[in-house]
Amino acid sequence: MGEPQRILVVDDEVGMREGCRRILAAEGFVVETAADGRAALEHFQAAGGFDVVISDLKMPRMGGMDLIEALHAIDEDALLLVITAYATIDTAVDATKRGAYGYIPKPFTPDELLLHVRNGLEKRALRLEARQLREERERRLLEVAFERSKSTTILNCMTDGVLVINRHGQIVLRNQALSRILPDGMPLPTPVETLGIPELSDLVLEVVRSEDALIASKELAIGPCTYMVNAAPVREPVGETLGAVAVLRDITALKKLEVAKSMFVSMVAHELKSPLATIESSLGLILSGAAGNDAERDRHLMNRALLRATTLRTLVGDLLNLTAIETGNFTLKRTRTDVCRVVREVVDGLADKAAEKGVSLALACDEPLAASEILADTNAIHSVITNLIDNAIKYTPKGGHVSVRVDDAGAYARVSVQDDGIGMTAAERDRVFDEFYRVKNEQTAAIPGTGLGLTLVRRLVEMHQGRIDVDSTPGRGSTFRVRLPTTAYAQGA
Amino acid sequence: MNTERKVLLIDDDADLVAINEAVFAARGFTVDKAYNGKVGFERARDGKPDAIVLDVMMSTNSEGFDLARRLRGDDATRGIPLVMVTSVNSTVPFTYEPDGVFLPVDRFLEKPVPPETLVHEVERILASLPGTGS
Repeated sequence: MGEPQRILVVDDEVGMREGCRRILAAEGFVVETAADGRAALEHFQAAGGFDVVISDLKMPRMGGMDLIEALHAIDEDALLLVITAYATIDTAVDATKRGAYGYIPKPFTPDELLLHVRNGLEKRALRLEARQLREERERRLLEVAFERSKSTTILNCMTDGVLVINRHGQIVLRNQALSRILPDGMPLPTPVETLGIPELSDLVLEVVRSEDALIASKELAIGPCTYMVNAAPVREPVGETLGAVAVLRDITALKKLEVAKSMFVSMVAHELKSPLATIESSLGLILSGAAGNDAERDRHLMNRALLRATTLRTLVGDLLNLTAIETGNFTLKRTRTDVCRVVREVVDGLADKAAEKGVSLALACDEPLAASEILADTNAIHSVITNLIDNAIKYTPKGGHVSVRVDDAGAYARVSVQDDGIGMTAAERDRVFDEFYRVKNEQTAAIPGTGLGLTLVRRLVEMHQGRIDVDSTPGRGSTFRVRLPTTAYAQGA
Repeated sequence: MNTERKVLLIDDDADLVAINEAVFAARGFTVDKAYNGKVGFERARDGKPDAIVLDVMMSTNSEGFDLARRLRGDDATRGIPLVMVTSVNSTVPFTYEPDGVFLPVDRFLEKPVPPETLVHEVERILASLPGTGS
């Protein structure tokens, strides 16, 4: 036995109250008493309830009938036993209608009282148990509802499409992302085939029907997008397959990247293969003597092979630099760099090459130049200027002119490389910074190049928050202009 | 040996043309050269070569194909044997039928082609033609 059970005896006759108390207390009950309904009610509230209330019907202030209702308003499971001197069938029926669980006509024996009280206590125990069960069920329902709405929210927040089918191949659940991928207003459940993607339905049905917990993956093109579909069986702990869940992930961007990557690798391979094949053929031809001996021709072929080999090495260097930039492994070592000085160094370095080709190379540097000093990676700027001037010399025929100029352009130091060489069409100019793009025509056929130089130039200039643009007219020449922010500008002054 | 044989080499790689020129010249060919499709067509039409060696990819990926079709479509050049050399890679999806029409060239060779092989192929084609090589 747990706590002693508590009984409230309500009667306006003190003799009756005390008589009941004695009988019940002797049985181990905790008994309290009240002289009328209102006092009983106050007592009931103050004590936090009683297991059974025994009440007379006729009392001053509040009678037993009213007490029943008042008690039930506080505790719907409160049990009330009526004792009355006016024992008629009518009052008994009336009392039970109002909610009393029984009545005892006065006078009664102690055994009669105890029997009725024990009946009441049993009822009380049953009611409490029922209430507990009811409350627990309600709490569980609430929990389930909460869990379900939590799961639904999570499912709908997922960017991947989620599709669940039952063992009959019917869709029983889909999240919002899936509805965006496969707009379909069909009410659930609906056969998975109604999605109209046979590859998808075949995949999930295969998983559902598989005996050995098959997990299947497949790339699927839906509209303009590509999805990676992963389907797995939904199983009971004991092992029976209930259905399948499929997750659709948008891998369109990844696929594009993959294509771009293989395009790039393929282009690099091509760019490596062509000059190597030429070098191989030249050397093979000279060594085999298949085309006879012509010293002058052989010398020319060897010179060309050497040039192609140099170009290859430059290509590999450019590729490494470009890759370093793309992967973020190329960090600028910015120092105060005098643009005029760098340009002069480059011009001096290329003077022989220009002279050899019969192209004049002139430098105009407005000194002192307010904006000459910039915060930059000196090597990178050197490489940029070298590329531009070297290109100008390469694409300008004998007798032509290349002029380099450094001047102020607002917050920028501007380097212009102008030539009166072969120039470019508008279409060629638009693509000139693209990877591996080279202008191809009769005039450029013998000019070596990697198609990466200007790509690298632009990347380096952009890394310095600079700009590069080009003007060009076929047959008239090209002008490349690089603008680099000056120290003052770079510091945000 | 037929000393009148003339071959037209069309390729945008000037070095490759120079190498092939040396080998063809050593085998007694007269060599004509062009570095793009436009000039190549003019040389083919005006120079009446006995054979043409043509690169698929010049300034565009299909310049060689376009030229081959043009040569086959012109009365003056229709009968000239064509040897096409290709750089097969994924940027140039190689196909014998670039637009569903069979491209009537006499031989496809994949780059790099050893110059001797190229000369050998051209000689074989010329030898197989009726009414020539006698």
